Amino acid sequence: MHDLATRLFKFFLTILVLAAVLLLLWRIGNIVKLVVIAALLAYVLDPIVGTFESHGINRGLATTIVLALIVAILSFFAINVMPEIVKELKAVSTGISAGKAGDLIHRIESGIEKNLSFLGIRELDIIEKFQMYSRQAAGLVYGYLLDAVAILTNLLLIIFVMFFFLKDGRGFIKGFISLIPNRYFELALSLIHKTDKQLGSYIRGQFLDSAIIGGLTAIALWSLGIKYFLLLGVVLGISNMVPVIGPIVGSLPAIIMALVQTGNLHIAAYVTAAMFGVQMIDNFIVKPIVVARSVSLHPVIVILAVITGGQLFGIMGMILSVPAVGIVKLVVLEAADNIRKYRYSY
Amino acid sequence: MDSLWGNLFKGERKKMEHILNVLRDIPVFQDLSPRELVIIERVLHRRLYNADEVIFSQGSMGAGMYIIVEGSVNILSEPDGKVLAELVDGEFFGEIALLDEVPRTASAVAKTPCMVMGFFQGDLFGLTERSPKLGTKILLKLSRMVGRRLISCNEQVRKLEEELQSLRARETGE
Repeated sequence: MHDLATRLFKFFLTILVLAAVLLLLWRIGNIVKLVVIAALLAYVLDPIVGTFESHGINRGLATTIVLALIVAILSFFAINVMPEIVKELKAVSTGISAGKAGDLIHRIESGIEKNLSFLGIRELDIIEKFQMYSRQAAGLVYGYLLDAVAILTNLLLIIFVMFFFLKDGRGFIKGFISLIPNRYFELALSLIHKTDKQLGSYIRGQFLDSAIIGGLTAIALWSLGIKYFLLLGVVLGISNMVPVIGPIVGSLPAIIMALVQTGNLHIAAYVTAAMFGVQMIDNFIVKPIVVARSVSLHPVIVILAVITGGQLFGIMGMILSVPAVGIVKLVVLEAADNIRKYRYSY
Repeated sequence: MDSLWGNLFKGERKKMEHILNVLRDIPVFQDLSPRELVIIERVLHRRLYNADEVIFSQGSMGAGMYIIVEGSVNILSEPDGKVLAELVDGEFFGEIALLDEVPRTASAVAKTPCMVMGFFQGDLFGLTERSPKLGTKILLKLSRMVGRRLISCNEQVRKLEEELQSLRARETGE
C-alpha cells in the first residue's frame, strides 16, 4: 500500500514537473525557437567541424572557422542578394501588373460571373482581393526584413548558441548518457548512436535537397523569363522540406506569378510543367542520392503533422513537424528493434 | 584561494591520472601518446556498479568493451552461473563488441562495487572519423588482438584434433 502511494506520488510529481517545464517553454517560446534552430543548424554543421578536426585542428578552432565562414556567407548574402529579394518583394506588393494579367483575370472573372451566376456569384474583384492579400503578405515579410535590430539580435543569439552546441555538443550528450541507469545504459547508447546516424543523414540530406531543388527551380523560372525567380526558388526550396504538401504549395506562387506577369496560359502551363519536371528530378535523382534513407510516413500522417505543427508553431512548425514525426517514428522503431535484440534478463 | 581550488579538484585530478594509467596498460591503447590517451578518456563512459549488479547478460547484443578502473568483475557462463574468470583493476572485457554488434558470449557481473569505463562501437567509429590516425592505431591493435586470438584458437583446435585422433586410434587399437 505504501509502495503504491509512493509510486502514485512519483507519477504525479513527474507530471507536475513536466507540465511546469512545458509551461515554461511555452512562455519563453521565442527563445526556445531560436535554440531549436541553433541546435538544428549545429547538427547540420557538425560533420563540417568534424572534417576540420580530422585534419588535426582542435574542435574550438574548427568551430570558430566554420562559424566565421557562415558569417562571411551571410554577410555576402545580406549585402548582395538580400536587396534583390527585398526589391522583388516590394515589386510584388506595389503592383501586380494590371496589364496582361488584369485582362486575363477579368476574362476569367466575367466567365465565372456569367456561367455560375446561378450560384449567386457576382462581382468577384479578384485583382483587388489578390492585391490586398499580396500587400498584406509582402508587407509582413518586408516589415520583418527591415527590422534589422531584431534580425541581428536573433542571428547573434543563434550563432552564439550554435557555437556552444557545436563545440561542446558531445559533452552535453555524454552528460545526458551518464544519467541513464546502468540497466538501460547499453540499450540507450546503441539507440542514440543509431538514431543519430539515421537522423543526421536525414536532416543533412533534406537541407542539401532543398538547396538543390531551390536552385533548379530558380534556374527553370529564370529560363522561362519569370520575374521573381530567385525569391520563388527560395520559397520552393524551403517548402520542399515538407513532404507531399510542400512541393504543391511551393509551386503555386510560381504558377500564379507566371499568370500575373504574362497573362498567358501557355507560359503558366510551361511553368507548371517545369515545376513538375523539377519534382521528377527531385524524386527520381536527387532524393535517392542525397536523402540516404528518408523516413517514410503515410500521407495522412504528413498532412495531420503539418496542420498540427502550423497550428502550434506557425510556418516553422509546418516545416519541422514532418521531420519531428519522422524522428519519433525512427526512435520508436529503433527502440523496438533494440529491445528485441538486447534481451535483458535481470 | 589557490589551495582551496586545488583541494576541490585534487580528488578528481587523482582519479583522472589513475584512469590514464589504467588506459595506458590496456593492449588496445598501448603506444598512444598522453595527448591521445586524454582524447580517448573524453569519449569513454565512466560507470559505477554495485556489488552483484549485472553489467551485461549473456545473449544480449554487445555494444562495446569495458575497462575496470576499480573493483572486480566476474565473467559468468549462463545458465549455470559458472565463473569463467575474475577480472580486477586494469583488466578489460567485451572488446569483440567494439568491432561488431554480436551477442555476448558470457555475462559480466560486478563482484565488488566497481568503476568501469565503457568504450563503445559508435564512439570508436566517431573517433575514427574525427581523428583517423588515432582511430587507425586502435583498430590496428584490435585487429592484431583478434588475429592473435584466432591463431591461438587454431592452435587449440589443432591440438584437440590431434588428441581426438589419438583417442580414436587408442579406441580402435583396443
